[in-house]
Amino acid sequence: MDFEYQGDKPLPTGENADEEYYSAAVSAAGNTVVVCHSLRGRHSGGEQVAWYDIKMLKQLAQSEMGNVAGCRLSFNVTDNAAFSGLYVARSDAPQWQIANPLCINCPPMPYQPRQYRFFDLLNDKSVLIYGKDDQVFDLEGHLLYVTTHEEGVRVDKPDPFVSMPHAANAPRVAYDDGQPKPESGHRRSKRIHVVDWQDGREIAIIKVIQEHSPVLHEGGLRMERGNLIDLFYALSPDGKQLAVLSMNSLDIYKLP
Amino acid sequence: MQEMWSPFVKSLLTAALISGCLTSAQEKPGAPAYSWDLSVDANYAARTAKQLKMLTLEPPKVFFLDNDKVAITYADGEGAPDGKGTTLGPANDDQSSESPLYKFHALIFYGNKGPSDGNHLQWEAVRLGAQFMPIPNGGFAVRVDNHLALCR
Repeated sequence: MDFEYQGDKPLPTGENADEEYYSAAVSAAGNTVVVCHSLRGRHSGGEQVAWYDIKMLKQLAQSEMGNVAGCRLSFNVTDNAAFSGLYVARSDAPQWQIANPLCINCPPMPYQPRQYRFFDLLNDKSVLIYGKDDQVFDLEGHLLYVTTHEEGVRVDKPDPFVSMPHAANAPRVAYDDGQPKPESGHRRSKRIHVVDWQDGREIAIIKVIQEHSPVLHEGGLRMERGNLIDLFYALSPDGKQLAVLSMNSLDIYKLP
Repeated sequence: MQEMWSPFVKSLLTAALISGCLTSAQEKPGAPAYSWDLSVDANYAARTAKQLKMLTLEPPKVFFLDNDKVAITYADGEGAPDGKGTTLGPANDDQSSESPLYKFHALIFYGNKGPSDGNHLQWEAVRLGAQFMPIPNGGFAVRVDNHLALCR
């Protein structure tokens, strides 16, 4: 299926679009794929989402062109709602409204709760809100789990443009320490944690070690990487396996 | 002297041992059930070699398609910024603004069999930021530029 680029047409305000992109996401139920089309000018812009039946790719609903909330950075969808940053559009109510990440099923908030602007739907029943402490809530606003940080360690995910790795069918998430630690022989390591947020327990800690990476010389500058290279990880749908991609190697761990 | 320090040294040793045991028990990664060298895929190996000399290549990603199958996705080449839709500038006179600049790859294989025994799919792309999305209950969707494809 192809979508039309429309950046050569003026925005409703008459302004020229200077940024345009498409983003997509699949609902946790697996019934729909939702496509976000974003157009931005210097002073105006908008986003529109469309729901498609995943078997037939038939369009089911479409939102109005609304606020530019940033669906490239944060885009979560269900079979009948699309969350772009702190805005939500529903398939039966196509106007964009301010979302309430703390209580997805509650009425929209009258103001933007900026402190909750980064969140991910873990499945159809729970939401993970990133912050000083990462918190898991159910959709009615009940707190289910709080990630506890060690002193001097932050909780991070492998890529800012994807949600924190989580099991599709189990209450498990995986995260890393963010900051690498020095190891002997100029090597560096990072720890990946797997937690069960329903039981509130840590399932495993996997330590990834990489050899010293070569120093880069670009534009007359000598640069050293601050982080591990090409590190990514994922949990299996049942949460019983962790796949760790580290440069040229892929390790699959069985979890209890 | 030895008598005086002995209890202190003993307590230090005990504390160190306990700490070591706890650290060891908590941090011991255990051996992976399966370990695969992805450089059997020549494109992937070339991309990693390039990554060692650059700062800004898109990182590869791993996904589970189900409890048995995994997908590794990566891009090679340098695409245009993904925020540019119709306003891409041609890199040179021979290249149109919509010329594919890089390829988006997916290696799909069983976690217990490895990449040598899998499928290698690729899509030509103009812009960075292609997406690979597993579909619950089987299959996946791929968005490259303004194209969406489903594979079930």
